[in-house]
Amino acid sequence: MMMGEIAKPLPFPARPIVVTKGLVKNYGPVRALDHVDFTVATGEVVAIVGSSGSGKSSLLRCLNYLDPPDAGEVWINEHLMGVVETATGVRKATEREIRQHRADIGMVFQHFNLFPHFTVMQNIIEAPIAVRKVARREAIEAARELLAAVGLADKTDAFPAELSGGQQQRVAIARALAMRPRVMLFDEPTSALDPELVDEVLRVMRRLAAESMTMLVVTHEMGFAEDVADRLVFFDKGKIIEHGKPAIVMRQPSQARTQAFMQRLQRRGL
Amino acid sequence: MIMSYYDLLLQYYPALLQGLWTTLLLSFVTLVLATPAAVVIAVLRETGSRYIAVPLAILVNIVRLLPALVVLFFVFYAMPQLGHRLSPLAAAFIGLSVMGAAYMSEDFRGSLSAIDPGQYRAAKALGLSHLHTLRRIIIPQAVPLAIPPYITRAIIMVKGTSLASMIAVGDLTAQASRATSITYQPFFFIVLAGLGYLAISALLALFQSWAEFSIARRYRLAPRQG
Repeated sequence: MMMGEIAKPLPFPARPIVVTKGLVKNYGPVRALDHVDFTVATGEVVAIVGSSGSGKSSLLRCLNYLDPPDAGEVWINEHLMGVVETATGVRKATEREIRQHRADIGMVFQHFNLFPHFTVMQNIIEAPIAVRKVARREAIEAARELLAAVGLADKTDAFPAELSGGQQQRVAIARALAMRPRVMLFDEPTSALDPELVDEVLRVMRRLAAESMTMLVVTHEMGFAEDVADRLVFFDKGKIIEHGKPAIVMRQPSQARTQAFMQRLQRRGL
Repeated sequence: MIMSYYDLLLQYYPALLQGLWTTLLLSFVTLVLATPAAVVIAVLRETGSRYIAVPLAILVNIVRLLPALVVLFFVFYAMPQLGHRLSPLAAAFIGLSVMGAAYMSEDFRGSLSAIDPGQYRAAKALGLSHLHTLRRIIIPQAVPLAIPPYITRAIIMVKGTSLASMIAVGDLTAQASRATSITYQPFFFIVLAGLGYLAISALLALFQSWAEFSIARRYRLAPRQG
């Protein structure tokens, strides 16, 4: 069960769960992703780092087809996103089919994006009931467990505006987990938080990582990246220019641009 | 013979009541027709495909840029030439609703575009369909924002129904002006007509206060932080 207490060892070498091949995404004249080939193993935690505009958020949005890529392939759990196999060959997936696969991928946003007119409980159960066709009572029960796991069991009936940023982000994580995703995408989950609220969110994410959830985390929290991530990926101008063990990429980067970035972070005391 | 206001009232109140009733009917029907049309236009223009949004934008602008009276004259006088003869009341229903829907769709569009795009993204990432997102996530948030401009527009539309008197509809304005031209007592009848419009509009303004209050309570909308 998700968010249990026992930390399992990572099952490496494991089956790849996220694979991209030659991923390209343009925003007007700007090439946000430039032929990205990238593989994530089941249960792996990958920290994605790079300066703003380097393509790291675009990668997340292409993975769940929130922004379909202009070229290239996204494989999630051995399914090619945006394409459906038929008896006679393959065809483009309909919006409805893409939606079903997108639901397997949880996403947490920088600005939480909770639904402000819903209570915490309604925020969490809306999609499981509407998309997964879970019975209401079961959805509520699962939501209670998730809220307890993120330390917010007493906030079931609160509205988002009544919560702190850290609490809102923990609700957003619970909301994504309620869909029982196979992969979780975190798009700068702590960047909009006051410094003293960052840890409560990272704690939840650490626990999730300890339970072998596959996680892709765009972050500037280098401490978290070093402790929790199995791999650090460094983005520059829409390409992955370096990746490896977080401690090594952070302390002994081989690329000049990675070095410059890490030094900037150090000067800022991060 | 000089008649007292009391005598005037006694003699003309059936006609004035008839006019008030017609004005109420015009207001009610045009609001009931225009509101859902405006919602659909606004939603399609804000979130629909370009192939629908662009023609709608052109249509709305054509209607919005014409004087209401010209639209009414067109429906009542010009349409029969194209083979569609309409009663004055039906012509007024159509003309005023079309005008109202065009203006109102712009009000609704404003409140829809005020919703944070992050809300669409979050709903989409959860696998919710576009229709579900609109129905459960976006529109409920847009409604409280739409109420002040919507009621303002509704009041403008109620007052705009007086234009129907120009195409032979016997509304409050028409009845008051008929009574005036018979009795030469413009002050009395115009004030009465004004009071009639004031009463209907005041009801709408009261409805606005009630709606704002009850929505605030229903959503328990806490003041925004930050």
